[in-house]
Amino acid sequence: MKALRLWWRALTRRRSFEQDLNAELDFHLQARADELQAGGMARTEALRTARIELGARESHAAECRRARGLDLVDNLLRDLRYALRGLRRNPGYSLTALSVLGLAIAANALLFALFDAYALRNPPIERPERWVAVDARNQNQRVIDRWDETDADALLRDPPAMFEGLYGFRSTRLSVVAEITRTVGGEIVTDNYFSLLGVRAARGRVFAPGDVPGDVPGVVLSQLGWQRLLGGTPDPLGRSVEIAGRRFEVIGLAPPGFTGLTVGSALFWIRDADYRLLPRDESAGAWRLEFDIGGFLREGQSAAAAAQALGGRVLHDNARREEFLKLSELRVEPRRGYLRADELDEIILLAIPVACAFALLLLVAAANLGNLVLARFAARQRELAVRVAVGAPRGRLVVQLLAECVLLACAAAAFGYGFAVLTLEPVHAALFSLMSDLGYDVIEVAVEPRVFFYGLAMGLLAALCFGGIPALIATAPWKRGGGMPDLAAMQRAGTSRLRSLLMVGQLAASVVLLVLASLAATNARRAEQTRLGYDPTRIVSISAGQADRRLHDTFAALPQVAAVGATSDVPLMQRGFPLGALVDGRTELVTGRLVGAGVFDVLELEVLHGRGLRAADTEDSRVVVVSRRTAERLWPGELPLGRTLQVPEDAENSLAVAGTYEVVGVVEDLVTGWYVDGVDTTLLYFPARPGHAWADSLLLRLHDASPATLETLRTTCARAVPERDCELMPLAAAMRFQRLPFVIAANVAGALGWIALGISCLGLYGLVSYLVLQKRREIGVRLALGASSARVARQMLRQAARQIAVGIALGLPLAFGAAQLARAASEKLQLFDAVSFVGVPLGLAALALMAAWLPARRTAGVPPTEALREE
Amino acid sequence: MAPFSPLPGTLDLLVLKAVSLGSEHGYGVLLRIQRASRGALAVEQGALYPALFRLESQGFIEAEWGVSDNNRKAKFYTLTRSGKARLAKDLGEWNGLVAAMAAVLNASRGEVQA
Repeated sequence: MKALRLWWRALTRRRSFEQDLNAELDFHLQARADELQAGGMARTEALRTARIELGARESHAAECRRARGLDLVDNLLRDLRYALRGLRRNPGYSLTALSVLGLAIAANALLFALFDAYALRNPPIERPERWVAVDARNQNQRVIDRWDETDADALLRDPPAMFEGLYGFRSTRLSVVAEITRTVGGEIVTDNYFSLLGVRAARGRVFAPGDVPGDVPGVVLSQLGWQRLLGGTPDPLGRSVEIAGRRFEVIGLAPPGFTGLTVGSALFWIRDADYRLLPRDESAGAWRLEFDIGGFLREGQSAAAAAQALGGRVLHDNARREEFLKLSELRVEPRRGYLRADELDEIILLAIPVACAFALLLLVAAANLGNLVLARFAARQRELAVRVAVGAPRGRLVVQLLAECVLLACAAAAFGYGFAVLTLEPVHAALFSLMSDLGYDVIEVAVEPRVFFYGLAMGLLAALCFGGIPALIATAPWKRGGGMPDLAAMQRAGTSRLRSLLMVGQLAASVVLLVLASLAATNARRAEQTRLGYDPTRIVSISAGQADRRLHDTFAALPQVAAVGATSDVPLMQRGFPLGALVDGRTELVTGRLVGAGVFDVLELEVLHGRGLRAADTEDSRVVVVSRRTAERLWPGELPLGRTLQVPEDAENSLAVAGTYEVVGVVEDLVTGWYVDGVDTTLLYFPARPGHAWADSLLLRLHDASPATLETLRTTCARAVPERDCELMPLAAAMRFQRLPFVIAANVAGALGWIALGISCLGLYGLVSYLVLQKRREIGVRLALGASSARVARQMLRQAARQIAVGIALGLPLAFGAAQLARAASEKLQLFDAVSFVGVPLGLAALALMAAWLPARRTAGVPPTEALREE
Repeated sequence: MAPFSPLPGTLDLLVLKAVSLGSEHGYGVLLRIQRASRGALAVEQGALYPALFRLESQGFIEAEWGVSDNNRKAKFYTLTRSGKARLAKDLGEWNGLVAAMAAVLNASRGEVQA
């Protein structure tokens, strides 16, 4: 401990340490000279003798520094300075190594920054280290992280002494009428929520325990809520806002940065007591698990004891619960970030393959760098030999070689951090743009300093791998002490089989990634080419609960609305219900849909034979309209009008009542499921009145889908049924949702593929440059003997070309195999196309050859005399 | 007779002992050893300071700047508590070693016959 303190003081006050050391040695000289002078010697002579007796002063001082442990730091600094000079002298090598590692770290840092923003970064609350969530496990040990109203009341009443307090909240979406009318996310909270979290109002006040409720209940808005709902008006306090049909008064604004405790950004907070007085949507049962319960443990209290104390309140009450909700255990668990326990599990499960892909990229980069570094160390053999000659042990050599790699890692980490800072926002916004278009706001993200340290750790780890192994190889000749190294062995090590294996692996990986990216893009593009049979840009759906006639008629009366119809399944979002229908005595598996007559108008369905459904048709009419394909499949070669099919009594999942239905019409085919699957193979339209229990969505065709029109529809809905979620889902957005997985896959695989290709090209460039350098003399001789420079360049290219060819030859079948895995999702996915499997590899080969050709051409163009003279 | 150099590994013990006699600067430590051995032991001047720095880092002695007899600024060393303990331990081991060495070197034929 003492040693460490002295060491640290000497290190941080280096100048004073050196002054003291000098002063002490000076005193020694003077004291000795005094003594000699007292014996009769002249002062000058006495001083000279004292100096001679003391001996090599600088070497004693160095021993003193070593005794204090300063030599390690001095050496390290010297090595780093030397490494920096070395890197500056070789800008080509430095930039190549920096970009290879920097790109890989940047990609990883970005992924980590996203994970950090959701899972690790805490909301701005007080004492987050004692923040806990109250969860349960069901009898299969599944996490149940929310509670119903009864449990919540039992848990929140008089919290046990281990807790400073417990709060509860429900994340919800309610329709809000203010400057605009929208269904937005918010939290319904207990009145101690803000005080327990230590969140204070930026303006006005927040809820506090013991507030006396006024006539008008209060609402707290987040900064985003203030901007969105009130247009950022300068005087928000006291403004009226209508939430779920009831008037609330804005009593305060939450501080910037506080958006609630879950990933959905809350625009408002209202008190649970006020919420319970609102008209409730009866279709949502009271048993719903809505409550998040959390709190803060007192200092020194254990979570297990707290769980024990709470468990007794709810675990005995299993009799009233559904089977899968019967509880076996209650847990009090440390809470962190914006994700609930089960969300975190899911994210981690999803993130593992993605993280593996990113880590693979880093590995590829590190392996590539290993090659580069090995070549560089080989070039430093002469310098190493000199160092050994003046007495440096092998350990020092390794440290000196590693210093360069560590510097590279630090620079790459800084680059990665900068990249993450610049791109996190846009990448996050792009990932969630669709969500925000639909009125779902997610938390704001920011890059935390720990992302830098994550990048640095990654970089140092990679540096130790890509630098450490080559450093050991490069210094191996001195392992048994003395002797000149075997340079030929070094060069063999530098161009070993491992080296080409790595290059081939990288190229194969880029082929796989880029081909998959191209395939995903092809499938995403098909969305635009697919003819759905209706115009999704002008049709919107609204989940109207058990849509009453009122809402249907209100919409129908709007001038902006061209047609309205109720349906059990919204096209592009729900597939319809499967049904085993009896046709001519045989059972046929078909898909059915309950629709109001208006749906035919909304979709502008072309009636091919017979008629469409009419307003007079109800579920009791026992008529059905079928699609063209259905007709061809069930009654091949004949017109099915007047034919019947039977819905059996015991048909599972059927929304159509049992009975015999007469086919009254045949309509054109549509694409209503996953667009990739194409036209529906079967589709039966069963009639339903508006207000039918299962036909609970309304489809609207609009004259125009402008924001103003959508706003009018939302306002109209919020007025008619304030307790419902009045958010509109344009079918165009549903289409975007369907495309989203392809778009994300194409972008992620594409980005990774390009980076891998970039790294491979840099590697090839480095490889050929190195080869050319090694064979400079040979090239000179060949040129002198009359070989054309193009021919020499081709020779140099041969090795690189072989590696490119093998890489692509390996990558293509791998990509084909990987693509086949997607067949499980749909038979109709396009898993082979010429662009992906011919165009992409050709382009990739051209780029890689170019990377190899540049250095080959440059040196082959050198006059032979110059190359020969160099030796 | 030319003075002896201290046996390898005994410099720390000599320095600890010299410092244990009272707070002293580096040159004084050197003189103390010389005088105590009546000139028979000569510590190499350059080796003394690294030893002092090492012992200070190990926490056996403490250093403080003061003023010497002839009014010069000098660094004075004092023994710490752990230094005292270390000195006692090393001294015990040394005495044991000396006694054993003496016993062997003075042994007669009769003493070593079983």
